[in-house]
Amino acid sequence: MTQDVTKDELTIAEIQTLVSLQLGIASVGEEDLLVSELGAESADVVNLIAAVEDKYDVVIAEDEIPEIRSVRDLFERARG
Amino acid sequence: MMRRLDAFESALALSDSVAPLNVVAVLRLAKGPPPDVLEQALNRLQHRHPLLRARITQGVDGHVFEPSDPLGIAVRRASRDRSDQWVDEAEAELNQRFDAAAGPLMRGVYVGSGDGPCEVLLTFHHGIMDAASAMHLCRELLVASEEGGAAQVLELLPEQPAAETFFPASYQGWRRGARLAVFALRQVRGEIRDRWRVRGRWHPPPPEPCRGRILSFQLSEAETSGLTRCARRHRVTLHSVFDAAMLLTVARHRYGGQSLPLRHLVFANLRPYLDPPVSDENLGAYFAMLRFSTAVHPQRELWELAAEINREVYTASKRGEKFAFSLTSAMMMRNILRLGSQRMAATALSYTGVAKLDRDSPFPVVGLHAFVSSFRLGPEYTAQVRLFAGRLWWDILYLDSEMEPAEAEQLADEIRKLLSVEAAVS
Repeated sequence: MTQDVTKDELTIAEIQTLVSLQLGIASVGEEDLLVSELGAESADVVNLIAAVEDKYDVVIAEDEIPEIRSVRDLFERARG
Repeated sequence: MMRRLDAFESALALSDSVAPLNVVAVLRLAKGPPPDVLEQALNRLQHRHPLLRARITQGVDGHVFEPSDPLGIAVRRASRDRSDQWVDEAEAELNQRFDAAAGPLMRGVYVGSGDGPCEVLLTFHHGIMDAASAMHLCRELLVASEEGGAAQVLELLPEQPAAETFFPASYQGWRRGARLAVFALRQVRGEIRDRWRVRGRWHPPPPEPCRGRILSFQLSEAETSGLTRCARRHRVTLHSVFDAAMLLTVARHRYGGQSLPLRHLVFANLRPYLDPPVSDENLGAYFAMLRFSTAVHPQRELWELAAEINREVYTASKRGEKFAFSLTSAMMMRNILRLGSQRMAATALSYTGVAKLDRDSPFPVVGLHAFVSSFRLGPEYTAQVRLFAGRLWWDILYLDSEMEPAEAEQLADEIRKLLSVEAAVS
């Protein structure tokens, strides 16, 4: 997969776009909670994590996932 | 009166009225607190959590939570003659019904002889506890049992309304009726289609008396991380992979390799989807049971079946069916009990994700199990799975009047091998 952006150049706006596309929601805030506010299902979370791993070459362990609650948490984890 | 049970809690109470419906959590400790300290801690926690002081009575309009009389959570002491003594104790706990009308709806067992390793079994009526709150209570119990724990002031929590109160706006008022009508039509259509395609090939309920038996296995850390990577690469949840492995194994061994639709139960944690979300510290049954019917060809590839299950669960969840299943569950349970001739499903699987218990506490947790009772109209093979200490822990329940221990172990071994092979490929 081509990497347009390295994880050091990553901005939260890109993560917001990723979440927006996965969940089909037009407006996604930086602090929005993925499950309780944006209605993400387990399968959405799997897709988001997998997309972040592929795109930014990071590895997110299964036991880290419960700590990724918000769009910002996902951004910070993607940045490593 | 504390409050009426909602539809899903009523379904659990109805099920418990014909056979025990208990949750048994097993904490395996390298060194545990003395049993009297444990009992004191449990009784302090009972004051903190309203549902630990509850009983269930039958009111005019349905089941009602009322204050328990007497109070006090008993901790039975059992000797630890063998390291797997806890298995016998857990089976006894699963099969021993609570006197729900008297309460309380929780009890404990201490399996040990003092200073060394021990097991602490916490048994709950399922109507007051889901997996998230059981895990939270285990954490609270270990902290409250620490030296000095008795001096800590525990905040008393208020009584919580039922899950239905917090359902989203689309499942409140007149909109609820419209959504349930669409849901019911879809269910009836599926039921007719299944009955036609199956035509008596599903297994009938086993004879009474039947008793729940248990067994467990774990995947290694390497297998667990391999499987996790593989599931992510296939863009499916771990739950879907486990469900697929179970269904394939049951189809191959118990249905003679026939190709037919099999029903399977899936459990959804409602807590984060409620409005407002309900924290794990508020004990209660804030979950839903969803039923699916999936065509299983015994030679089908694991990931293909997992992807199909993933799609089915995702579509139903996005349609909000977890709320519809919850609202119609008491009616479904009444029908199942009235007919008495149809199993609820072939399999049931609950994957509760990461279990966070501090391994560095004064009471290091070296093992963590959880089981839920079943009965003759329940699933043929039930599994509770969680990720603990980097490994996947599978806890299985089957009924002794339909399956010999050797067959149950063979099925478990097949599931483990199926998952291990995929983990190795990754």
